[in-house]
Amino acid sequence: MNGEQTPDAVAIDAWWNAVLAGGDEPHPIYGDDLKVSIRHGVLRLAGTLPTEDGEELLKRAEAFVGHGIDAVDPKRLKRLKSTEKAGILEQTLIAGFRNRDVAEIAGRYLVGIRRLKAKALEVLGSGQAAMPRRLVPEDFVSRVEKAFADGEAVLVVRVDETEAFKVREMLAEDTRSRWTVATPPTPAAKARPDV
Amino acid sequence: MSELQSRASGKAHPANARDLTKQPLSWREKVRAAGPGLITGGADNDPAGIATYSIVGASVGYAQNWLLLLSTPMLIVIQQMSAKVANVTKTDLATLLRTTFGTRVATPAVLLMVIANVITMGADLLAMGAAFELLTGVKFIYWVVPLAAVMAIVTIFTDYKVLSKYLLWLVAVFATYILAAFLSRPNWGAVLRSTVVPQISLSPDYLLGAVGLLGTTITPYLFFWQASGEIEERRGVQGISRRNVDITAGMVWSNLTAFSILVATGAVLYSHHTTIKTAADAARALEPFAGKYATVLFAVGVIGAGLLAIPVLAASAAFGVAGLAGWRRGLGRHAKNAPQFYVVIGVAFLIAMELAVSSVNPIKALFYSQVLDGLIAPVLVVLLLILTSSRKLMGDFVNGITTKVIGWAAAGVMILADVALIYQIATKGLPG
Repeated sequence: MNGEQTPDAVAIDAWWNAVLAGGDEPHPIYGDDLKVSIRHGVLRLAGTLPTEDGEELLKRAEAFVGHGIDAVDPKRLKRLKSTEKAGILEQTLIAGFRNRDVAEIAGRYLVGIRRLKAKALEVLGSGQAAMPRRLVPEDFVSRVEKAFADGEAVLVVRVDETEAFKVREMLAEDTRSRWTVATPPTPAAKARPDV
Repeated sequence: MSELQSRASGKAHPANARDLTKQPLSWREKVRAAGPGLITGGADNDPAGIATYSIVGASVGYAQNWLLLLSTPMLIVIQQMSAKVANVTKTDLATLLRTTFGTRVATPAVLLMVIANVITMGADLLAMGAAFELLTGVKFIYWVVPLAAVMAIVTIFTDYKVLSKYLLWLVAVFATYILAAFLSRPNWGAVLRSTVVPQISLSPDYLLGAVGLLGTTITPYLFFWQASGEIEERRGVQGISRRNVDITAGMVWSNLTAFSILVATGAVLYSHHTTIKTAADAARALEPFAGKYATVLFAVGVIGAGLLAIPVLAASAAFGVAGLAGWRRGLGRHAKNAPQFYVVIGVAFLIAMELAVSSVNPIKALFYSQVLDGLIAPVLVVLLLILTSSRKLMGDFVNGITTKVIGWAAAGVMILADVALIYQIATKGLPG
């Protein structure tokens, strides 16, 4: 470990330290999707993670064997092999915030802390010269305009459809958005015949 | 390279998102997709459902078999709509109702479901108590509080989803109703006739049975549970074809079990003019298969069904309330990370327990809880149809014509049965 760690790597290291000390804080990235406990020297992993993340976590946990724990029990750690393929569909999520500052913090949280790979991410406020139609689907323009009229700023995020559940949950729960909507999935840019 | 991948990288792409997710499934894939549905479908018949089908079979014979056949495609379509709307909008039903129709519509709709769920929980607790009484001889009322306490603790503090996988095997005993239906030697000509030719009566008894049967088949809590399950598992729209196979298999299996209960109780009880007053009476329908062990088999099944269904009822109520209020929710979360959600579950258990200990007749309580579900369900079906028919909300995944026709037919049938029942009760009073 060196001084060039990313903020989330620092948070993950701190989380492991807390776990080994007997704490049960939610994981900085996986939150409640991952549960850990230590009983009689055995580190028990439980929850549901994507396959690659699960393997990475298990490898990291096994590195602690002999350094605070005797064994790792991953029986209850479900490694989800998603049947969903990335690159087929995309989805735009729109969330309303008290003001532009709060919306920008939320955007930084998604990208910086939660490692979101967004196809587009933009904060729109009432001072917006024109509504970027390429970002906000026609049916949702009136909702965004209403938010502007109420003095709110909105964060518009376009992601692969396979990420949309997670993003909606983060926007609605972690960032304390006032409201969040997911527009219907559309063919991803590269899957559209007109692109 | 899979179908989806090739579509993503190939040249001739459909511009429609729905077309991109359509996956032609081989028979092997369909069988594999149907597996989980068959198991969960068996669990859809909770103690209240078993009691309702038994009472209907014992009181009107095969006369309402046609209603079960008719309700099967309706149930499938409604459950598929519940799954689809969650996968498209990435949120649960209560939140959608609130954000689409506003709190004035969403609050009463969700609260009606919550009330029905809590009453059903109370009735299911009584049924489990009655099942323990059959096994031990200890009066059912003494089982209610310990059962409610244990189940509340398990639901709030342990991983219920892991536990439920084991409990499903207890409910598998209800598959024996299928054998019992054959062994009870029913008049198959009459069974077939009553299944395909509707027999309609406007008597309060018949209508009460019809509303109860529809309410226990097309149950409001299942809509919320289906949608919440999609969210918790983060399934997404690409798996919709598999999901539809899974739901269809589950619901067909669930209704096949229900159909067998109607046939077995019709053959064993109705033909001998026996009415169901106690759990032991209901258990007699299994005698053609299990003989003297019918009571034990029935009791084990009811206990398993109750252990499975009661936490689901409590959680569905909590998902509804939390969705309305915008609270963190999910059975996959620690209680400390979603405290309000788990408090609602705890309160639901407390009220259900109170209802159960103050109720005197478990069988009547079970039946009337399903009649209440039958009165509430059409309201939610109509709201669900409006949501899933909105192009703004669903985009390319908007309801097709077949789904709309079957969905509105379901709402229509349920509304007609409800109106007829309310009219008959208003003019002739509640049947005894």
